[in-house]
Amino acid sequence: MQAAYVKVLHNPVKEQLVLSYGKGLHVINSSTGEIVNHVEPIESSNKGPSFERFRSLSFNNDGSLLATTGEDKELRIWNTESWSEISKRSVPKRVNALHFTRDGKTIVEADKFGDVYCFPTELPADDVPANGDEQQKHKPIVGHVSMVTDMVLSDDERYVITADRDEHIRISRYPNGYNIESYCLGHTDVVTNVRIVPWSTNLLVSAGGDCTVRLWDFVTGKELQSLNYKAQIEKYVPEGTDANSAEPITMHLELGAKDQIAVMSFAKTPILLVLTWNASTLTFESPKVVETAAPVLNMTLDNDGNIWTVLDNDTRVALYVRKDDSFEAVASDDSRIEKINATSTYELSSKPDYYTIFGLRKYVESAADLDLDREERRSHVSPKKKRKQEKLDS
Amino acid sequence: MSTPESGQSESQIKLPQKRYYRQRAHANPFSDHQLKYPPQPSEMDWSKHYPQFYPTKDAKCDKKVEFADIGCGYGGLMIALAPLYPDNLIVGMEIRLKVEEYVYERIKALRAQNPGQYQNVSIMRMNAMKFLPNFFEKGQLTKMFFLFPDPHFKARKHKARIISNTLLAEYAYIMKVGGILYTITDVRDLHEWMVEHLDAHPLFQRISDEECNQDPVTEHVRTATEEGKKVARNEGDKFLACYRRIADPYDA
Repeated sequence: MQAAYVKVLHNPVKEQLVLSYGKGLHVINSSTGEIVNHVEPIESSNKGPSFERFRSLSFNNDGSLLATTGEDKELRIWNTESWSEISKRSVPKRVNALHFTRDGKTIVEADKFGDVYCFPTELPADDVPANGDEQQKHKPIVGHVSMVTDMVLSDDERYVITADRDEHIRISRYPNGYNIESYCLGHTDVVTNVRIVPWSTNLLVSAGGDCTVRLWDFVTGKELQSLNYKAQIEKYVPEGTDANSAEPITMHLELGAKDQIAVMSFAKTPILLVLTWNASTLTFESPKVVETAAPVLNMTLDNDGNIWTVLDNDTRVALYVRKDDSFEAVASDDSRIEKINATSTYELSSKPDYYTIFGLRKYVESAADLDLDREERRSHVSPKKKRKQEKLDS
Repeated sequence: MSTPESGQSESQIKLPQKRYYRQRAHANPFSDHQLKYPPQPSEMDWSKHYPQFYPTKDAKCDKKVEFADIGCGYGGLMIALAPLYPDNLIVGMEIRLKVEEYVYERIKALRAQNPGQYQNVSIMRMNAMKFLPNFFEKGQLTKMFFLFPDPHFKARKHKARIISNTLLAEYAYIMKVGGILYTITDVRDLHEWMVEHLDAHPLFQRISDEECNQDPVTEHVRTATEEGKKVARNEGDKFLACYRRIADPYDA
């Protein structure tokens, strides 16, 4: 079995698409489908064979740099022309989100421990820290007592926006994270994605496990819209997807500036959901399903507004292009995807869990238990406890 | 065990006994406890906590909770402050279920024994390290108390400490400029840690010892809690540090 591509990201400027299969990257020219590069650093001996080294990817604004990190907790920054490594450093915890500042000089990362750190893109030449030292020197600018699932900087770089497992979206000043500006609260399950609306940069879009996509005026924390899309996608979500909840969980949310759309994908679910922007009401509307050949592991929009997806099946890469008011898959022999789908990644003996995202959900005893009135809860005493109390009372 | 419902007259209403509510002193703030919290402060039903102030969930009440005792334990401080600040709503948050139940019974008994009193104090089981913004709006609290918090001695447990540079940002957010944050501990190490982090935080400013001593609350911070009494019995040290929430100097 070939390892699937787990992440796909299009360069914001160049016709360049990066596909990560965990151990390495394939770089293709997105207009021709030519494979222009293959990056696979030498495996260090102490890491296992199925090591996910490229789990988070992020380009800088002009597309000249790519930051990568994964299970190895190495944050690497690459030159996207030569594919040489500009810097490599160890980060304290596994990273869930990466974001370059506009000038490309700083990389901001948010980790599974709930902290957000800033690092200079280039390591100071005279001062390459030994492993672990960096943690001492760098203090987090923001911290949650919960896993941070996603993080973005506002367009003006005055705010850093973090989303966590406990339904919070926090708006902190950047880089003065000690001052929290507001919270965007209302989600009732984990928030997995936050994005700034590129065509209206005072707005934030969020989604996660509660079947709603929400629009916020993030500086004030005011919710402007909550759109429930359950009716549209329900029938595509396989039964028993998550033992813990009947609701689908949003794996990915991207905004397309060209057509002013939002595109979403959901764990184990073979669809994309496309929402269109209504410029007069300033809200999203008409969620539309685009069926895919297999569940979507990740997706990205290229600069022409086409949607590149990596799928949980043998074909792996599928491209969806605009047709009328929806999207349609290109044929499998389309030159843009033919070569990459004929390329091998590496052999796996067993299929890895591509949906660890379910682990973000809290195990909740039935809501009814939580709603038990205090008196009822109290009157429910286990027999063992009862005997003990009688003994104490006598 | 006696409860007010068991047909006794008011004079017989007993305070709960602590021995039925023992629980180990630690709870992991990172794990998912079965907690009930509103998605946002506007959806909080305070009527269960302060029925005299909030007759119904949606009742208009110009009073909001202003004092929060974080990790209130057996509730000694809140009970001491309740009659002193009858117009202020005081809430205690405690993560340990049994301890929270004890405080609940204690408040219930006190309310029954003293009609009209202790209406301004309440308790909830909560993980304050995660969910404070679900209950309090920006700038809502005028006093926050961190009395004898869990010391978490091991270095790798320091992130579990209730005072940390990143958590202070949350406390600053829900506190009003001018509000006071009280810390006290009998562990010198922890005191130094709290002082170091609070001193380093741009939104908090240490209050001088003289000023602290003039604050009528300070005396109760030292003596009203069960933990404080225990330390006094053992003739241990108590280290107090109070801080004022100030405006962001960066904005000035």
